[in-house]
Amino acid sequence: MKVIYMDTKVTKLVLNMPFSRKSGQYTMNHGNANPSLDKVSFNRSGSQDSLDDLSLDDYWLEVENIKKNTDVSQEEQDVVKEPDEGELEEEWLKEAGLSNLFMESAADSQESMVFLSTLTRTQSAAVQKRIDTFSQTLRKKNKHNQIPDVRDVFKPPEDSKLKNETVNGFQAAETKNEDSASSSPIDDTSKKQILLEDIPTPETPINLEISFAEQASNLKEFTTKKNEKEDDSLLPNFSLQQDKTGTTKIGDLAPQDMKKVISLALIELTALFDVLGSELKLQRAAKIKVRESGVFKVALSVLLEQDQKKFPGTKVPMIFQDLITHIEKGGLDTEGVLRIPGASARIKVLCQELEAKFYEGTFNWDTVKQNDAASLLKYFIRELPLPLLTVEYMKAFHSVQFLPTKKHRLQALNLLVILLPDIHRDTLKALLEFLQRVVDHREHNKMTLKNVAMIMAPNLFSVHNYQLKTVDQGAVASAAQTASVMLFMIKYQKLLWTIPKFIVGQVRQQNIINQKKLTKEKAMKKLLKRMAYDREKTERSDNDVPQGFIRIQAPHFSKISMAVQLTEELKAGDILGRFLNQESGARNLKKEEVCLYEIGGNIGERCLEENTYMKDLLQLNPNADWVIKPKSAL
Amino acid sequence: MGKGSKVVVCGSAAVGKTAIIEQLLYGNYVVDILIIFGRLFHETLEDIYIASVETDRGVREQLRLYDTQGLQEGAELPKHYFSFADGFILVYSVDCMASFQRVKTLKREVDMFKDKKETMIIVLGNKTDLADQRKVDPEMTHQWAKSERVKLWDVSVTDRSTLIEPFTYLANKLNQIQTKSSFPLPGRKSKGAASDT
Repeated sequence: MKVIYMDTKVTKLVLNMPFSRKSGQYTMNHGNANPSLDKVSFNRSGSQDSLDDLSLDDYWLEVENIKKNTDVSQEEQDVVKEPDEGELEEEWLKEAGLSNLFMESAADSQESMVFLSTLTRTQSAAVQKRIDTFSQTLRKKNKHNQIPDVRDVFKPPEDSKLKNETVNGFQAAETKNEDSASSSPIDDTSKKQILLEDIPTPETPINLEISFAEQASNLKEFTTKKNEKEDDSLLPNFSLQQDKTGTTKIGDLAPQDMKKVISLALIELTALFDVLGSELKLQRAAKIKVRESGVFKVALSVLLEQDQKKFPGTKVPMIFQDLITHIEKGGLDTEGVLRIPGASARIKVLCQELEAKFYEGTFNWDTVKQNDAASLLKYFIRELPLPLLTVEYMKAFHSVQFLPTKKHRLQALNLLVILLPDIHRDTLKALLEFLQRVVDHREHNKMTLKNVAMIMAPNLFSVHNYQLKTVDQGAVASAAQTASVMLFMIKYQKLLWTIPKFIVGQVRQQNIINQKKLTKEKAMKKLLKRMAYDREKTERSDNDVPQGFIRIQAPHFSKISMAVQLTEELKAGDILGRFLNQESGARNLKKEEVCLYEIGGNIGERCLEENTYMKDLLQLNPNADWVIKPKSAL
Repeated sequence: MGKGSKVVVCGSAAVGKTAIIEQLLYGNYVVDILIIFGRLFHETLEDIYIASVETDRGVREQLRLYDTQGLQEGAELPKHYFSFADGFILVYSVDCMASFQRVKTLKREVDMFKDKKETMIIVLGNKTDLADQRKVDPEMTHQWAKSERVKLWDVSVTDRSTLIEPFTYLANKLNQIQTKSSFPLPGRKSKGAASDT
């Protein structure tokens, strides 16, 4: 039945396609592909997993709609630049924050050394590989140019591995496990590391994955499964292990540390792909001309710049927010919301109107139909000159699907989300949160997780119709893959926006080593400072709290300081609660607006989650200051 | 504006030091549930507040209020407070004679250990709302205050207006010393004493 239905869709598609020969070939291939798809759907362990039992109808229908609404006459700009040999490696090293390894002015190599010394074995292997390739091509290019031999700069980081093991303290406990269920939740601490450390010996990859905590959540998963059988039954409920020092979300860290996190994430991602034997394709964005103003076909950064003039602090373009708000205003219970396209004629008119009136604030949303707004939203995403998932990482997002297990995919996606530029990441988040809300209404709107994923995938994964034009035998597979990635992103969005603890740990290590390097300098500076601010200094040391207490500072409030006794149970939320208890009488402070921060010591700044145990964190970062301040004031 | 004067608020445990400050700053008097459980959980260790107080000259002056840990029997006020404080607010509770005795000894200690030449001391007798449990004779306390040449007020945290005068007075005095103002002190009641900035 399914096959027949699908074929009718295909014929429809064929009619729409201008080049008939290609489409003929396509139909044939599609026919071939179907039985195999069906087969896979019985074989759950296959990499196609949960999506296969679902027909790709929605996907093709959406593709069809996209085509219909796409202005064919528009001139195409190739956003992907074909890289020269070695260029990718150079770019990679730059992105990974290691550019001074190959720069002529390698005065900063100290810094790189610090960075490299904190890497894990697999991470450094990944770096080594890129450097080798790069220096080879470089040597080929200009033999006369003297290059500092990277292998001299690059020490085999034997000791770093040891260090890292101490960071990931749980190792021993986790390796004991023998349960080999393929659906295991992750914890963000050390799992990845262990996996990476040990995978090169391929005999025992699976039994390293499960810890006690995971077994517990496997049980939990079993119970929740029943409710979700409807559509998500094959997706394990990954859950983060409760971390006593608090999970770190993207955005919790200060910019300077986030930069390090991004570098590490890129290396880690590469290492993950290397180890798992998949190819990680990163691309370079070619310089393209983009419109400098307007609503559609404008880069996110330009839109945001426009918006921030009006509303400082905006993180997601207003047009994007407004479209989502409008769709939601129409009620998410509408059957087929997002799926049913608006009328293309109306949409064209709306587009023009939005271009003209949106930024004047005169656009009247009341007349916009819900499905038109949905179509506009999708149009907006598709027509971004730089795609939402970015040119650089689009392929990488795609290739996540080639990783062997769901857990690996999730981890890779996690790292990829970290790698996205802020604007793209924030916008993606807004989108995913909205999609989740749509899915939450699936009882009424018939939009299950899979349906939504199917429909959004072609919108997110098409680089200016690049994919749509090359509909060939790969298209079916690609459809399933992108839809599956999309599904993962919606389903696990909460997990994807966390920064894995081992990366935060590595950042801490880097900072510590850097500080050690600076101690001599610092001691001098300190002396000078003390002389200059003698009074202030003495005052400070006078106020030193006795052991077992921490001092919480709150420079923005009238109660500027508070000494708190440390107990095993003391959490960040308790401190905040106690502080607000007193402070909130005077101003209407809400708990969501302020946060306790860990500042200084071995981290720039980190917003603490409520469930952070202060005593444990103090051990991790004994020299930190604890500051309560409003969340927005960075 | 400068850094503001540093004022240490001290006295026996559970006389209402924190309550006074919070009533003054936030205008809310909440009987802290935790106090009922013997101040176990909510005991102040050392909190610092910034209060800006309007002085007679119409200038808002900042006071840095150091809310200290309540002194238990036998415990002494940590010495470092004596070295940096510009002023002291000694607090006792009118329902507890021992707490007044404590104020007496604190006054002596301040005179003995203070680093700065001019250190202001004021004394507050808190909990006047508990009149029926009053153990400390007001006659006697005022007598003592006169002999020690310190200002003393009977206050209650349930009535914010009783707190304003002492703090305004303190702010005036502290800043007068710095500016060496020759104006005599009328000690009049000022309107706004506290704010939340």
